[in-house]
Amino acid sequence: MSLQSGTIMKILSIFESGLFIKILSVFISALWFAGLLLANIYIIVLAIVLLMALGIVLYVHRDNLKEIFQGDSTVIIEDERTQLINEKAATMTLGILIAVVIYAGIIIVALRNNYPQFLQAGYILFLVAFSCFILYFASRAYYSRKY
Amino acid sequence: MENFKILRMIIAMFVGIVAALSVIQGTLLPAILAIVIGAMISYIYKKRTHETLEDERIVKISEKASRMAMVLFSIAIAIIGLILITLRNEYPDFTQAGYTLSYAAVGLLALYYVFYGYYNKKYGY
Repeated sequence: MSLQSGTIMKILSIFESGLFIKILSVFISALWFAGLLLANIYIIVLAIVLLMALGIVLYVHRDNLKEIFQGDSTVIIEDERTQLINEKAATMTLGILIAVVIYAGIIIVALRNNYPQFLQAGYILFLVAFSCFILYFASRAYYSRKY
Repeated sequence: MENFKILRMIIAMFVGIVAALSVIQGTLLPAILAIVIGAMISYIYKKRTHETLEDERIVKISEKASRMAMVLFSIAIAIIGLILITLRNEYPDFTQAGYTLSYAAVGLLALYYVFYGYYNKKYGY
């Protein structure tokens, strides 16, 4: 019984190994490309499902990422400095993106009489800015409550 | 801080109303003028005032929120854009939306790496 459970644990540990996760990531990327080229939504759905499964495995082992990818110098474990850089870069990026997207949306929609073929892109840009705002304020509320 | 909040709200309302009216009219100039005027008023107020506009806690929360929003947003628009482009044969009307979202995702990543490089140099070794 213990031999059997040991074998099962060994098989399960393969799915949590760094090499397996890397191979799976490459496979998922290949699925994105294949789905896009073949215009097949089922391949994209499969890629999304695999990506979610990978995300769950990485989330469960978020404290042991260094052990999972041991010996791999390309894996970056965040320290306070990179965290600070990431946060500052994200703040700047989000601010500029929202501003640019709103301005571009206004320009495209205002010029709808001259370029009616781009009207959908203009509305999509407004939607992008709006959803970005919602996400930002939701996460701001979350962090305000947390700190 | 309260005065600045009120001023910012008034500026946002002014810019929003003028931009909306100019979009409805199909003319660009009033929207550009309103945006420039709004940005100028906000900048001048920030320069002249002696009150504390933001404390450290708010800045930290805002940075953390930005990062979280950026990560979620970039993943979401990349996947939605990909799905819309993939469904180009079934729903050709939404292909332009798919390309717009994909370009937005690319722009977001490009901007992020530019600023990451900048801050890495600023706070780096």
